[in-house]
Amino acid sequence: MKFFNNLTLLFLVVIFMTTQQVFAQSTFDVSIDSLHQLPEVVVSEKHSDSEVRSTTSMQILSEQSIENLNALQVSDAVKHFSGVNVKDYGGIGGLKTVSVRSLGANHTAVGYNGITVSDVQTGQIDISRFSLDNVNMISLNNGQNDQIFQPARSFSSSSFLNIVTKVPDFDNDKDLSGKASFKTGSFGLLNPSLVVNFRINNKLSSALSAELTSANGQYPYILHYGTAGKDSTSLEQRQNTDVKNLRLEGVLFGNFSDSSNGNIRFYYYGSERGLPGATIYYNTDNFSKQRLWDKTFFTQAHYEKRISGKWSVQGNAKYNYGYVRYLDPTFLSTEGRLENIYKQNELYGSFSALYRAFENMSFSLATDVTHHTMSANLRNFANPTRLTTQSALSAKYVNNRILSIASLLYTHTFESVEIEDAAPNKSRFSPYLSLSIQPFEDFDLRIRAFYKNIFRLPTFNDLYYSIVGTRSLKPEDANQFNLGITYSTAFGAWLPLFKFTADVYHNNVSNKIIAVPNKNMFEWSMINYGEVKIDGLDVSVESAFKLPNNWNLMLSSAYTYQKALNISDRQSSIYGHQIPYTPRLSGSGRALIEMPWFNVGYSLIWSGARYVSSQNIVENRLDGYFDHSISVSKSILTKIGKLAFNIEAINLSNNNYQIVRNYPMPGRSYRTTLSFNF
Amino acid sequence: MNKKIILFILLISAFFASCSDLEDIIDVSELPPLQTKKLLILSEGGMGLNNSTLALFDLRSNFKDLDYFQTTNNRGLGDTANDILKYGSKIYLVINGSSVIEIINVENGKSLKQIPLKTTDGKSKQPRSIAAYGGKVYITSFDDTVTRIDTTLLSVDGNITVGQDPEGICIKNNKIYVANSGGLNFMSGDYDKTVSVINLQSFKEEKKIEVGMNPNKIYADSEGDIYVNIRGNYTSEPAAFKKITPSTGVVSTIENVVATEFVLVNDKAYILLSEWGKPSVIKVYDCLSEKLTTETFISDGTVIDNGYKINVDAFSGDVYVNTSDFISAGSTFCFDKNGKLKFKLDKVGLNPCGIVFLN
Repeated sequence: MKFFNNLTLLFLVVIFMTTQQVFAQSTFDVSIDSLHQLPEVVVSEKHSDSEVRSTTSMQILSEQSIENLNALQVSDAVKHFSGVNVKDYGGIGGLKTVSVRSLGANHTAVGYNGITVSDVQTGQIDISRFSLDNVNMISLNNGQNDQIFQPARSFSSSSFLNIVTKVPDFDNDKDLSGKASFKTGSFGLLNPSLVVNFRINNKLSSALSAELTSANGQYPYILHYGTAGKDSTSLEQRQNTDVKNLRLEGVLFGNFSDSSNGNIRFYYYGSERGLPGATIYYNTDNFSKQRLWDKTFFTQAHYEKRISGKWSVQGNAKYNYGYVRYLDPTFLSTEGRLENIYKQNELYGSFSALYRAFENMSFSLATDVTHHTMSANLRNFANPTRLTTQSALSAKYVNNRILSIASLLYTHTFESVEIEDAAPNKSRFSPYLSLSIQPFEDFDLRIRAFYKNIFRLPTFNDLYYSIVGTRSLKPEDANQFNLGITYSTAFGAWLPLFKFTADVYHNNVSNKIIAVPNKNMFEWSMINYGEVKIDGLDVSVESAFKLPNNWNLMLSSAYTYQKALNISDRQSSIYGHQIPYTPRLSGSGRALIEMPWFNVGYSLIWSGARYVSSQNIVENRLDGYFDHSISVSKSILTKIGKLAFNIEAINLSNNNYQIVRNYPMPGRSYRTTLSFNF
Repeated sequence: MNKKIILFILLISAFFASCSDLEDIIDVSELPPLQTKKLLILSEGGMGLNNSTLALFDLRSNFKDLDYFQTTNNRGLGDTANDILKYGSKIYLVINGSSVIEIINVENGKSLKQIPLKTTDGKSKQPRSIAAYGGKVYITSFDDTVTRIDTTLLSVDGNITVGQDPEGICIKNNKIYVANSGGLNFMSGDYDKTVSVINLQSFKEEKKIEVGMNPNKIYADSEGDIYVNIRGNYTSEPAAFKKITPSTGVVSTIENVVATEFVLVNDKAYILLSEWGKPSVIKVYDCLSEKLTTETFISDGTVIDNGYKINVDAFSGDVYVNTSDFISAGSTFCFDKNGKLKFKLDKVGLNPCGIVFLN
């Protein structure tokens, strides 16, 4: 009998495994991670100085801040920025996209070491794939950053989230350094990682890193059968939440002379995860069977040379391959499953020149060529190819009290397809202007302003997806106006840092690319329709206190107000309503106490209520939330290196709040990290 | 003599009538109310949002409860409700996403039973449409089946396999007709093209009739003719409106009539045509004269945007149009049988579909 049961079980397992299926939702994206050492982005000044001097609003999280954030993934850290809205489906494997200042995730460029990660299929980057291991800093710029000596692609988005990894450093007499780390915690988390740096000779060094993340992710949650707050509930456990990610990375750095350097990077990311899906009343188990496989490989090279006192040049090149497989084994087609496979290839080359014409004035010209192809196992899929050329001409004026940048980006696309007609080619000029002034010489108060007009191209899904895609789509336009002040100071020894920034902004997105049933009530297709008007305020405060007995206290907080209104159609019942998943108020806070024995960190993410769809009615309201976390950390210097230990408690109030309706977040969880720097 | 002949003819014809038209033995509770006093309007909600609703409107007191099921049962209806049917003292709600049939009491809205519809290997069946006859309800599901539920025992008492992804279902003259859409094969384009004919007594599929690509709604008129709309493949294969004559098995195309959305009541097909950005149009096709009798049913200039589903009160002939823009709660327009607006209900629910008329 027992044997029979085991046999039955085995049989079921086999059946289950063979009936696994794939479906690729158009919202899932292959993001292509690019690695690149950006020439001008080597930040030698303190991060807080960059933030206050920037002509646009710029926010930075340094390695040290990140360590005390209770953050596992880049998305956890990004939630601390003001003006940011991370759409998080929950858990380690849950999709996470970033919309900045309500412009939509398609308007946010994500860079890895300065070079944009592209996903031409969906236009949105799932930042859940980026780990914080080996990250030196994360920065977020609205508009663009103040560097003009960079690839043209860096000028081409409404905001730019940049992940910068560490550059190897060596003690004088050693040719080897690195870090070994091991994290473990709730829901089966196992996360070992290793970074090894070698000094090959005076000019060459290399870094190799490997990281594995695995979790079963099965967290408990309370399912409420209704939104009224007085409905029946049941205690459930999130299913099909397992994640397995592998990241392998190798970089060769060359410092050939004082005036030239370069690097070449190889990157592989592979992931298999379950998609737990929405918690559907009475049928959650059937909605949590889908699987997703991701593979990304890229190699990228950068070379930079100062030719003379006035001229510098740089070149960048990249090849990227992206693969996504989606399987829905419960899909009731004849095959009994839905399986989609999407492949993307990208070839990229960029050349930039910087000309320091005068002491205070420099000019740059950057030209990029990108070649994208995509294929999919969809019937009659067009297999599109897009060649994009981008050129940016910029001027920068800088003295002690004024910084101003003007740039003009020209974009031209050439589209071709294997089946039917290609989308029309597009060409656009995109202007940008920014200014920062320090009115009083001895008072570090700056007033800043920027204007940017930019667009996002229709994605391959928008244009070519079976039946739904529309070839004739225009780009979606975004206008940004920003006016802000920054102030930074220090009061003697006890307050070494006080920094304050506040920005008001007005954005406008028009020709929005949306899906509507535009032939009858059941045939959907993509159109340009609608407009969103956004007025907002971002405030951030950061301070550091030196306390008696060698204690230090660091406090910082960010606050966001966003009024993002749908103004598409005056006659519509949703005219003037706040757009979905956009809180009016949100914010974050951090505190760190450094003591001689150990450090204690606290972090908070909070959000006001949001609406889950376009109509601002009570049924569509999603409650606000607070997410508190604490950590205790201790590091010991030994003869062979630094040993660090960290223990964290995340989401202390154990609230399964929802960022996306029907996707509960994990409740209270614990994590511990042991790392060794050598 | 003449009297005898007449009596004889009457007897003969009564005999034939009762043979050919079992349908005429009708449960009194199936009849529409003499005067509709309350409406129950089902809204699908959005996929994955758990926001299907059943709204109650009392037309005399103007009382309304937009989430009547929730109010009555302290739990939500579920995800993507597709169909509603009143049969006897019970109302049957077909919830596609949650894959359940919810059976409630007509009088108070209390749930009498929730029947999960799962395949033998535990997958959702994803029920879609419902019809009733002779103490049983019959439900089409996307797992290519029709499920029979006994309305006294409130339990499943049979499943049969039909064509792919069945949509509409109707029962006439001892037969169940099911429109097999194959709509979930949109990836391969291999839509189904058939209507399954099922024997009501044996509950076995007798045959499949080829009608055209992707059939959707299906209804019978009093003469026993079956009307079905064909949606095509949205690209090369066009939509069409077809008639099946069961006695001959002939399938004919009704020329110059497109019926993307329709309902057949009292031998009239009420056709709702909607196009993005244009006012919706209602046409009426008379199934007895087999002619399009009304090109524009709305006679008082009322403009309806985004007409989504159409329902007709069989007793009064009132025509109800539910609207949807898919992002905000839709409205319900009620027209009298002459096409004049009687009343309009706003913010009924997201994607309102079926209506049950109560007295």
